[in-house]
Amino acid sequence: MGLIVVGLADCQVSDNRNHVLATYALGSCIAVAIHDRVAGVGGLLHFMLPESDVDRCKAKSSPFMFADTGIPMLFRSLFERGAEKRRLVVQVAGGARMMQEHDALDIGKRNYLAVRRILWKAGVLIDREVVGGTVFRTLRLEVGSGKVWIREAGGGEREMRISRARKGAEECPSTH
Amino acid sequence: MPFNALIVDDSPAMRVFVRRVLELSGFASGACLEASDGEQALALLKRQWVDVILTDINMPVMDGEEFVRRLDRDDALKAIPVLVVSTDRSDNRVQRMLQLGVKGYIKKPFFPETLRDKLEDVLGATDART
Amino acid sequence: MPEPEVFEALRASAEEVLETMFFCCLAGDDAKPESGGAENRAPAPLLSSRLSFRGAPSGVFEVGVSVPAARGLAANFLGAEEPEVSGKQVADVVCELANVLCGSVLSRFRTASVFDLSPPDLTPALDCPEASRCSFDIAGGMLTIALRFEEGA
Repeated sequence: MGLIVVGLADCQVSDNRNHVLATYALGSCIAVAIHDRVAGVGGLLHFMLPESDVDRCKAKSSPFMFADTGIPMLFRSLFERGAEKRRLVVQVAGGARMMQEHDALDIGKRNYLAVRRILWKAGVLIDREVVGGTVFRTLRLEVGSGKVWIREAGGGEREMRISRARKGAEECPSTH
Repeated sequence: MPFNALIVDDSPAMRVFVRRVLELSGFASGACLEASDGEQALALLKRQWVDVILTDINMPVMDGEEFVRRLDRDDALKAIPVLVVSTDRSDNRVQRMLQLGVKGYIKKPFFPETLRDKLEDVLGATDART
Repeated sequence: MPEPEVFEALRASAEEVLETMFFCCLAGDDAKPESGGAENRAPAPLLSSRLSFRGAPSGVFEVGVSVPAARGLAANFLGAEEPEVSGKQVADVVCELANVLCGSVLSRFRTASVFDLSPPDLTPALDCPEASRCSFDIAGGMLTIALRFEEGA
């Protein structure tokens, strides 16, 4: 099994079923893992900041540093390898508020809002997410199966599952 | 098989938002009808069958609660699953609507994924990604 | 000056609504409470919307958004880019913002009570006398929220 490490401000896409894409040290950064089961392609982006207009030169040389430049490039790479938007499974992790950082602006939250905004405008909804909190995370995407595994500092590794505790849902009695 | 939906809300902006969630969730393969109050919605339902109804509560002419009561009195229409999408978060209202048989109550503000998840709970997931 | 409880409800609701359905956040933790007199109206130009609510208590609720900020909020809400959004759509979104914010604020005071909200109307300016009002910096400008409970609240 080939492990491909995705560093900070980095993105990797693969259509090799034996590949696993992994990224580490997700604090306020966000990892976006996208997979198309039919095309057999997966991609993983690790971005650090929400908007590239704070440093346009940096965005040219390091587009994966920013959500608004990195996410469109991730999509393009996936589509070039046969992925289709309607089939994409999108998983997001990170966006923590790290006490060690000078984070009066809560970069983690801004990163999370940026990825939600960009995906909504791109016409894609998030399937699974593990965001917020105050811990570091690591994440890996299995290109063959599409499964995403996450580990939080101090905890064991687990598969990301669909979160039902979302904003706005009212608990109903059995509906079936 | 095409999937038809009816969105009932007096806010044109909210109708766009809900329609977008339906489309991105794969639940807009057929007709996506819109009405700005319960009375308009009932008139539409006389002409076109739908597979799901998403309704607001606070609307002029006929509000969402009266609209759902009217649906419940019709042997055919009462079979259509109804989701409420409303700013009204009061416990009293939520309980009344659940007792009227709505399948879900989404309180504004909500994530688009919340509505998608509830649609999948009630209707089953579409097969594009499963 | 608004009571601290009202002020906190306005701030918390603004944060909740903007982050959930408009995918943006307040620019800082500092909101600017204002007294309700006409002399303290938010600077023009802005888009504003007013609605009334009936229940226990009744009252009036207003929202004002700087025009550039309103365009950005509308694009975010509708899932579009700013040039694609029409003036009418921006106005519709500001009205819906008022609707959702009002519901969120009222739910923080009375969780069991049922409120009837009137459809929000566009208004030429924020002009709600005797209102509790505060303003927040958002991307592109400012968001101002005004709330007035009727007598007996």
